[in-house]
Amino acid sequence: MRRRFWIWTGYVLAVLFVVTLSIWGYREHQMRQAVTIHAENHYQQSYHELTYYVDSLEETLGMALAMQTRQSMRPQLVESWRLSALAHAAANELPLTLMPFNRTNEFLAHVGDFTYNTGVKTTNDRRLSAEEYRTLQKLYHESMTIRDGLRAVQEKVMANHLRWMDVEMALKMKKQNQDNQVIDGLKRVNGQATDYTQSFSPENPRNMVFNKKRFRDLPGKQLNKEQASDHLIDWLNLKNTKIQSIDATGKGSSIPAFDLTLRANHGKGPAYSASVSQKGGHVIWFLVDRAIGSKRIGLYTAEQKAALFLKQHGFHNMLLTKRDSYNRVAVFTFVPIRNQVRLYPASVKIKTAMDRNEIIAFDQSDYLANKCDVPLKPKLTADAVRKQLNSELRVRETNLAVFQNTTLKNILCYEFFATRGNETYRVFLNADNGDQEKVELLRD
Amino acid sequence: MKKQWRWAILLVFVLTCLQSMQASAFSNQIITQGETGDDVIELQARLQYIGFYKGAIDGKFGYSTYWALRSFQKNYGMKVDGIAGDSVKQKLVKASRFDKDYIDRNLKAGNTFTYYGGVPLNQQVQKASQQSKGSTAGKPDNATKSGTNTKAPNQTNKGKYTIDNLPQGYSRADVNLMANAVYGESRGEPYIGQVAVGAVIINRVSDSRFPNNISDVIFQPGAFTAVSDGQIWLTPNENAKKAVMDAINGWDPTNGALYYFNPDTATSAWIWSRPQIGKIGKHIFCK
Repeated sequence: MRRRFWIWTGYVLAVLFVVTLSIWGYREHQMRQAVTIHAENHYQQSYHELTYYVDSLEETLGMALAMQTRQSMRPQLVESWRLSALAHAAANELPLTLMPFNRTNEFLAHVGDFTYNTGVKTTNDRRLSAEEYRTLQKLYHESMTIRDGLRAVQEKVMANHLRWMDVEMALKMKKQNQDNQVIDGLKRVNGQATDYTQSFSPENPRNMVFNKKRFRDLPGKQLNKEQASDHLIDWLNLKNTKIQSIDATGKGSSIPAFDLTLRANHGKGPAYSASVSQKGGHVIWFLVDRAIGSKRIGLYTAEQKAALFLKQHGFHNMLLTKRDSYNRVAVFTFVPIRNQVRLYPASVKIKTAMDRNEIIAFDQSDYLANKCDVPLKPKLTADAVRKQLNSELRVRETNLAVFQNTTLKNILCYEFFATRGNETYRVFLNADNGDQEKVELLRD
Repeated sequence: MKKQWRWAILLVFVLTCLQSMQASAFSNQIITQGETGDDVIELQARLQYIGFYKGAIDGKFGYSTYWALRSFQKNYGMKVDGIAGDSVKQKLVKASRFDKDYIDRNLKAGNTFTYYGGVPLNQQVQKASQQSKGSTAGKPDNATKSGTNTKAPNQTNKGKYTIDNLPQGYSRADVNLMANAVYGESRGEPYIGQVAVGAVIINRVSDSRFPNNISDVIFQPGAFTAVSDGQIWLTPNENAKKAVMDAINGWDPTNGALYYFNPDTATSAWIWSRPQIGKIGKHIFCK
């Protein structure tokens, strides 16, 4: 009797256990399903938005082509600018970081830059130049092919119930050439890109990839590894160093260089990392990793030392334009002065530890990359340009400066430091036509 | 009679000492733009006392302090350079007064206050508690009005001005988010490798094929494994924050990389096809 009771109890318990487990499992499954569907829907929505915006973009670009003056074109140009930003945002919601989806993104960036520069920023009402009109035509054509490609993929997704979650998984897999219609379709969109991309570089809107920090021809002769490390140690004025690694950079680097790590004090000192150009042995940057003690010096003492460091290393006519200090370090930005013009794009940065007044980092990649070879004679006078500023502004300082705008063009500008109440502004106005290039609100 | 003389000499001596002590309340460092600390508080207070400085007395030598100092130099016939050296400080000490107690007390209490000469001090303070009452009563612009000083308590005077002093164009939230990403992605890496991961984020922001702000770059689907597996929500350490500051200040150990991967764990075939730049720690960086 007793035994029977136990068997029955065991039986009931087992059944209960199985039932609870399956309910729990089902719940888990449902929850997971809900999350997956949620993510999938988000991807689907982004893609549909992308195609919709590119579709509308194609239309507005086409409409703009029908207009004669900038003024009459402006509504379409502004609309294209808005649509390109929305499409760009939608495209970046898709799990496509690990695949070549460059063409669409690049195209959208071009449309954005072009429409902003011709339609939003320019205030005058002259006709579009022949070149600008040609660019607009090219963008219109491009928008058609991209739209067709995106639409084709969209149709396939709808017809075959394809899931973006699978795309995401497929992209993470080792073998990418497995059959995934979405990936194939998007690759096809990207495939026709080469001639389009080339037709836009270099003076057209940002081909950042190619343009960013393309170093100018550096003076000096080719160095091997030993020469480079000897030069670096000499340049840093270190003794008893131990070199830990030295590698030549790969072909992806913007400049052929050697990356070095070393320690001073027979390998017991702090770690130095640096990059030295293979040609000429220019120290592109270096960085020391060390703990920083309590602050012992003021900013002024630190900046004197930084300026001296520059002088000793062959930088002349440099002006300190920016000081940042945080966590017991100071970062100084120096810009070269040529014919009393500040060359902002060619800046040099120095970081100082405020415990022992020691320079612990240096960077001249901008200095090496930017020639700033624009004519340094302004066409307009400062007084003429100044009329663009609101009369409420009190101008405190006026300089001539070379400024690099978002399309990476160097432009000769008048730089005005002006105040209104407690706010300080920095305004760059084009020295040739008075256009506004940049307005900054300098926060304390 | 002789004794009296002695006492008089001593008295004069003590008085001059006191006076010179007061005059040298500034430390002997030269104060420039970007400086923070007690000297700047005194500089701002003294400039405000004689009406040149209308901003908040907060110990940060920013642009409004700079213009105020230049106006002072111009008015007093000195070289106009916006740098407070010895002669400037002496002139300033002669021309103004500095009630250290009053200012320290109000800074500590987080009060909104000003320090204009000729106005009774008790009319220039708005207590922190009153201030919040005032704003609930429907006068929110009272506290933000220019020329007043809103300040979290105990933030000054400790010499601990942390990441607040940021490079132009970056917010504190950006730095924190980046520190989270850098820590989640590369906490086992050498310092330079952490700077490199930060630099990749910055490079992506400025590249047209990627989103154009920091949070969108970090949260782009599939872009960073630390985001996918939730490690981004670990609490970052000081080193990661330091690395992020170096990266946003422009140091790029990768010479322009847009991608990186761990060769031991990377599964994507495509990433291997990118032109490589170099290896830092365990990561290979590429374009």
